[in-house]
Amino acid sequence: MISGIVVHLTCDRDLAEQVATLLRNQVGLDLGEQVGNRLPAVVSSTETQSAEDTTNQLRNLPGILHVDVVYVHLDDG
Amino acid sequence: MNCRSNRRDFIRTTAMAAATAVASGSTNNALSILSADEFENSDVKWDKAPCRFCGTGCHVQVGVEGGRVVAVAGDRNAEVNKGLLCVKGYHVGAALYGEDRLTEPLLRRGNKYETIEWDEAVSIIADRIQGNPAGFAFYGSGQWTIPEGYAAQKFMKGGLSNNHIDPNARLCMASAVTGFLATYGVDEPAGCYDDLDECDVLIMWGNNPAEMHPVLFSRVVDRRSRGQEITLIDIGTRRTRTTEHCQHYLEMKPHGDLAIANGIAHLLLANGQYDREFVDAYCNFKAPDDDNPNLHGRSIEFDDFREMLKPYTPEHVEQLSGVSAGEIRMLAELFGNPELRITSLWCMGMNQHTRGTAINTLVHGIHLLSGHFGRPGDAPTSLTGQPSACGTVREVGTLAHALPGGRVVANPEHRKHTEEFWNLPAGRLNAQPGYHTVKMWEQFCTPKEQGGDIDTIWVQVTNPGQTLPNLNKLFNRKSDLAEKFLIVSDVYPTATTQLADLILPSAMWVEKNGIFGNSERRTQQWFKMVEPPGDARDDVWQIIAVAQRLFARGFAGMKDRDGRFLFEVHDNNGNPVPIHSWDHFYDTNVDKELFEEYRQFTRYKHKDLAPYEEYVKNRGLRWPVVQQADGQWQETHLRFSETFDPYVEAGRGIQFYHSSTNDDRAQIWFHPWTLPAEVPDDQFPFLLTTGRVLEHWHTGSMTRRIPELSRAMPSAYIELNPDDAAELDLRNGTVVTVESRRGSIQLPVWIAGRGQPPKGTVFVPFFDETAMVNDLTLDAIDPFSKQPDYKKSAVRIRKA
Repeated sequence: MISGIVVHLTCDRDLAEQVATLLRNQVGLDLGEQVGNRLPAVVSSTETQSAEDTTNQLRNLPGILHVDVVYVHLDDG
Repeated sequence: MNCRSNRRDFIRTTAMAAATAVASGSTNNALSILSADEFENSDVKWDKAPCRFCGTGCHVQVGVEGGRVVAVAGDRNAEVNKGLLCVKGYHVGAALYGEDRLTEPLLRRGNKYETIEWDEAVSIIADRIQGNPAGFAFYGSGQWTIPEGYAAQKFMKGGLSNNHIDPNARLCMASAVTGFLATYGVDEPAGCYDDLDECDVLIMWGNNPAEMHPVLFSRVVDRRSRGQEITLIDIGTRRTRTTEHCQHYLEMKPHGDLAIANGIAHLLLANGQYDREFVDAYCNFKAPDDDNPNLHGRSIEFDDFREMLKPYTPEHVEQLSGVSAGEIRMLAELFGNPELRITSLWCMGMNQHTRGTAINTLVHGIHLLSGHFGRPGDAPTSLTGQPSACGTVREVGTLAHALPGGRVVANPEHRKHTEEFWNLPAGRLNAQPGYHTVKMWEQFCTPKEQGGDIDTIWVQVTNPGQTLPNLNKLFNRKSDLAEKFLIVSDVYPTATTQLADLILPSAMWVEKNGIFGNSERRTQQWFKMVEPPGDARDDVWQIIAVAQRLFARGFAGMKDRDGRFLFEVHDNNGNPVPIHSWDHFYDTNVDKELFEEYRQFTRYKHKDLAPYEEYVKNRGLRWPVVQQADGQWQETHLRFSETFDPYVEAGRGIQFYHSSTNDDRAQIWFHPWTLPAEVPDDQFPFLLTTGRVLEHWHTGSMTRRIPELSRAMPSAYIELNPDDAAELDLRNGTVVTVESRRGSIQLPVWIAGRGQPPKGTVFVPFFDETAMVNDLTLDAIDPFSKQPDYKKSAVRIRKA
């Protein structure tokens, strides 16, 4: 499954930058160009972790206020 | 690079384009994502549809390839969700493809089901109706599309002169309806979702939008992340995901909301902070008529109202509600500040309440008393749980007492209107309201010799075998009653089909044309995009096929006053189209035919709908939709306000033009605080509340068949407070027996989980058909709305 998501970052710039750096290194997550405090990204699910697990994990990270999913392709592609 | 890599790269690029567009707030059409040069060879065809699940009414773009839904994207052209979707919405396409879809009609013979042809199924239903027309009942849903509900309504009330038709929405928003009617004389919110973007204070009354209406809550959270100041207040009986985002959490005892609302009103008057100008110009006062209980109560004077509120001092309200006197004062100060814009949101917490009508009117009342009404962001707004609870149930009127467009069966003038629109002989419509939901199922589950006068129920698009309260009384008894006959149209096997005598396979969502009406008066249309599996067919076809079978047999009710079939439609040459034949059902757009007929009903209560084609062009329009001098159709953001509502007379400012007192005024009610119908005691010491979870929608009949959602939340549980768990020596995962006076179930314990109930309170979700919490719930109902209370049952817990 491939999902397009929008990560809403905190207004705290330092914390937002820290978490954005963390996300850049996350396997299975491609980041787009940040717009204000919104960070577009693509989650490609792997055998060990589903897209849903990844978005839930992101929601719990300090510096992330919210994660919206805006696109999902249902099959493996 | 091979074809698979190309395809995967293409999908990934599309996903990033969608996410980037939403992040940047672009309003370009989502289809352009796929028509960029590098993707022009894509075979995916896209079209719009509202999401199948909750009452928010998000629009999705549905991607179809090879006759299957293969992708879903949030629709950036949709004002409701602005391209966003929740976890259920972005998996909605997979709801079509569970492995156990019903694909052929099944008839119970003994303990087995046999496949039968549709023709036989239609005859069986017609036989049951002809055998006892008055003993037939139709149980529908806020998931019926508007044309489906309208057809069922006409079939029952116009064709059978039988008012025993009621929807599952009776279980979720009937008290909101009676609250609006008692206050404004007409149903449904004056405001809309735009208020969420405009308000300074958002008060959630027993409401958890972070899980139940997540896209709406996302709009609010997004404002804060953009640096806007908004005060969020959660008034609830347990901490939820919503609480995490709120500055104030006011934990109340059950029925504490009645005391809190009265406490706010008390302070507004005591401190001279009510809006005297607004009240003098636009409001009357009412109190319950204890000698003759009815929705309109008795008129009282302002001084009477003040006197009735006198006991509700902050300190007394603290005792009744558990919310501190300081917090009551804080709420009153907010309402007393005319500079603020305040929106109240509620859903099941205030509606599933044996005093549901009362608390609905009280919340409207504090908005009116303080003048927080009639401006963007100043609105008391109820939410619904189903995608067309408003459109199909409240507007089409698929309730036992109602007729289309806000009319009621008991009113001779309303029956006359309806008979004229339907071209029925005078006197065809029955003036006696039918059975509401709880009564209908009680009559069905009572032996005929004991007065159980409903012998056949046809269920469409809902799962009462899991959602009715007190299931052992209102549903499970059917298994011992051989003379009772249950017909169920559905897409998957459910708890309800387990007791069905006849099961009919239905088309769902984009397997058929449809129209929904969401929580903010928005009417939304979509077209069929894929074929249903096997021999599954549209629910509206099923109704028309049975109607036509009765007509062909000479059943008088299925003829209009000129002897024509009630559902006769014509082609462009004026020839009848045989839509009762499945082969010809899509020869014309039956949805459009039914919708245009129904549209005539909507102007009476100023809920005007636009022509069908306007909804094809738009992502929904909020009624009243009124044609302008230039021919354009314009929707209405805010009712009763001269600035926005075309039906408010010039110079009036605010005009409640359907006032029940016929003076253009709304009613501010007093209702006293009372205890819930059942409270914990020594025998059953815990308070049980029930509800939904983020991942599952209602009974889970669709979402539990979506692997990602099922895996994320596989089964029900009981949420416990850590102190209660310690006292009972329970740990996470311990299986307990939960028992009420009505039944018992077994569940694993979840301590300090997603929701955090206070000591003495437990929560169990209702999505899991292997652990039916409604075996435990109480079937006590609100006296006006007839809605049960699923939030307050007394239970006890022991290790299994």
